[in-house]
Amino acid sequence: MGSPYFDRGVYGEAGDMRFPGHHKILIKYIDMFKLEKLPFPNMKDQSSLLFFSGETAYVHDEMSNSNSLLSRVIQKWKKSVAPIREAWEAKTMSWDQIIAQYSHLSLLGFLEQSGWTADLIEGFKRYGLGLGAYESILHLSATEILRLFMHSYESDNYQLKNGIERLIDSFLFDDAVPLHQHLCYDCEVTAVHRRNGEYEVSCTKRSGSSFVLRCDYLIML
Amino acid sequence: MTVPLPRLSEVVFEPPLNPKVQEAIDDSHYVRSVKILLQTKTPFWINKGVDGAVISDLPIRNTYFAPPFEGSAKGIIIASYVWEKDADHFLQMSDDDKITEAVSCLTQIFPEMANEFEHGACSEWRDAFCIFRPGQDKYHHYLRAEVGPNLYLAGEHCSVEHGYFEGALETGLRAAANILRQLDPEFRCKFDELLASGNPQDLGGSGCMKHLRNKMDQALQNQLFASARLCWS
Repeated sequence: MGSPYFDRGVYGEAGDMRFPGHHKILIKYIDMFKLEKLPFPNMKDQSSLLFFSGETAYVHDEMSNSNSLLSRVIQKWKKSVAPIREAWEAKTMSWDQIIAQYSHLSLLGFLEQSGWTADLIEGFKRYGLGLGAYESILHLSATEILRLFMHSYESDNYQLKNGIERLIDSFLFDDAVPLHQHLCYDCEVTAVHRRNGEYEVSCTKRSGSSFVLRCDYLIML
Repeated sequence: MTVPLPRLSEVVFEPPLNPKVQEAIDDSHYVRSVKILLQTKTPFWINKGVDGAVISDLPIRNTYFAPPFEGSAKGIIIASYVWEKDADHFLQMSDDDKITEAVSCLTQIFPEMANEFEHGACSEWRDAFCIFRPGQDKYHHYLRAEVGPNLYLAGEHCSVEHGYFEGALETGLRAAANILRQLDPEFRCKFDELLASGNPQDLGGSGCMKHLRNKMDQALQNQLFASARLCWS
């Protein structure tokens, strides 16, 4: 998000703002389009703040105190996921097996099953694991968060210099194949019918007019 | 076609999709999200030794700072990036009220914010991206397969990398490869091995990309795809 919301020359990431270093396909495209990636800070020890009950604390101060709630939360998390991570890295446990074992658990359920005390769970809600407060996502699947931390997600994040829109523009306005000429915006797909071996995709434009696309193969992204 | 699952759920398919596929489309959980961005006169936080993140018990919860810009002395703060019930607090507000509250919250942490703030903008999504609830991992199986004759789904919701470009790219390539496989009976790219290995995050490995690129190039020469060349040029 840049102009007209902000002054010329500055931008803010209104959408996808960070990606982990193990996202190899994305990074290949970034390299292919000669874009530049920068580290994304997340909660860096040296320059991040905690602000709770009106009190400010630097993360590095909290982390240097092994008895602080933040230190104990992070240590407990590492201990909780270590057996899974080690088995996955040693290929003695596939991701499908991890899914089978943990898919039924919410993130909160995983913490409880792993022996987290009430104060540690409260700390987990507050601080997350370097990505932000986790209280609002405790009801979601534990496997969603486990997946992230199999890849050191908390410490290996990047952002795109000048914004992720540069990547989208690179796809759309490539000189070799100007994809933007083939895109139709502001259309709603209302129906997909298969007749005589081909698909008929019914679409309605925001203006109210409608049209039908026909194709042999269809990818709905 | 670009259709996230909540919208796809409203599309009429004739003949109907497999009930398991339809259930996966209808039931996959999407998170609500709000992001509030603020422009400041300067990146004042740098002089305070802060450029990582601020986690707080204020409604804004999670704050991140944009890196300095070349050619501009202004600063941008992602004042708040929140999900689910934390987002609900802001979803019921106007953009002006969101920005006012975000500035108020940040002023509690950084008093100079009151003078530094210039203007702001917001983005919000009722269906930001897919993150499964417990027990929904089974939906991957139905969303990643051929859901009808010559019909494929793609997008982050079909991948294990929910909420990321990577998931959209991986599943888009996978769908294209599946079509190639149908068009070329000899086509056996490393996707098959990766599917068997159960580790789709290896999809970006150089061997796979090189092999797929070669096959895509062949397909383009035969004009099987109109726009895939962009991905590999």
